Amino acid sequence: MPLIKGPKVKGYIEVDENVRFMRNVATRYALPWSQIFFVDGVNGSDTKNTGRTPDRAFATIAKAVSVAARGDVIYVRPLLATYTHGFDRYTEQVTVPLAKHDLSIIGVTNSLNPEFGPKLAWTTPAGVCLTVDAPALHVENLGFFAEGVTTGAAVLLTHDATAYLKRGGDAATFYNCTVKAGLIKTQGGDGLYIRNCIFNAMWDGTYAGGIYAVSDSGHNPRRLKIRDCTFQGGNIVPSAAAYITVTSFGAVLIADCIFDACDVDAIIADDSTGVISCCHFIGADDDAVITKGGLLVTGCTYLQT
Amino acid sequence: MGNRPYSYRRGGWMANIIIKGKSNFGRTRSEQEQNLRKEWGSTITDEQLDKIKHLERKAKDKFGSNPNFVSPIDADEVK
Repeated sequence: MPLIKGPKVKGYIEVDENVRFMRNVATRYALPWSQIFFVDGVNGSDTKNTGRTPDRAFATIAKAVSVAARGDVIYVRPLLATYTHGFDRYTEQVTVPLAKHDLSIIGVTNSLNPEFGPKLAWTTPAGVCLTVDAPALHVENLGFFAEGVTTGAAVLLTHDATAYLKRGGDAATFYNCTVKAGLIKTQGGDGLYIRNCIFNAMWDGTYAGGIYAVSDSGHNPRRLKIRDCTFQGGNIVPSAAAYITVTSFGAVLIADCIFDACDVDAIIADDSTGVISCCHFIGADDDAVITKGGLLVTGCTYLQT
Repeated sequence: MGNRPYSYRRGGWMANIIIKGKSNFGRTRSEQEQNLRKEWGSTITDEQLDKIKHLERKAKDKFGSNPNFVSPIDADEVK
């Protein structure tokens, strides 16, 4: 910690030598975010720690979100792994309120093993893991597990049309996340971007992992973009429900994705516009795996077992 | 005045100033990533880190400012 020492004369510190500030002093450019917080469910503490350094991390994601402001970044450390059931899971229900827009929640994972996917696991038996009322949330490297959740949503991006009190569907980004037996559900919004994520159905295929974009608010939702994602069924069984459901969205882009077998159409669109491009499906042709609902299909391949 | 030394030259008591920055963990995503790897581990691949550094340099050249929070979504667009 830098110190300046000098005699105190009439309320002022006098310094005889030249002073050179090396860092942390009146930066010329404002940070695009305000603060960084750390969450460590094993060693952290919500009551004793400030959350500002890795060794003084909070214990819960909820605590970090509660003290964070707009534009802040939250790094979350995975819990411990056991041989029998993998990594332990954060079990919280967290809501990001409207004022905390442009928040980033980033899991710290071993990127050298991308095939294993994000290790930071998050689940809650009571309902939705993450409810987002704020726009421009960025989520990275998190694994959502929603087996048996009655709402079907692991992440809920709220939207309330012209009331402007809920804007979770606006400009949210999800990168390198895993969603198992649950959905990323948006109620509308503009510019939701989901990239490089893996969606898995429940082990028996009963609950799909996927994306549910429905205009509950009726406020002209648009520009939903899904790229480089993989959608998989259960343990050697197809998913019982569609991987992607889109209703009344404009300018939808679904590109470069891979879809495993599905008992119903892998994509079900209705009253929407946009493009499905360069995706790979298990099925005879596009009519066998897509309910187009206004979407155009180009450059896709279809494989039959 | 506690144990602080008296300055006979200036005729006043010595005092400390603690200067706190907003964060010393890194102003850019690449700085944060490098610090995070010393503590907990990585959030992106080495290749993405290189690309993010490249984007940060480009942003600094263009806008004159180097604090940029570049996500790997942007890094993946770098070929």
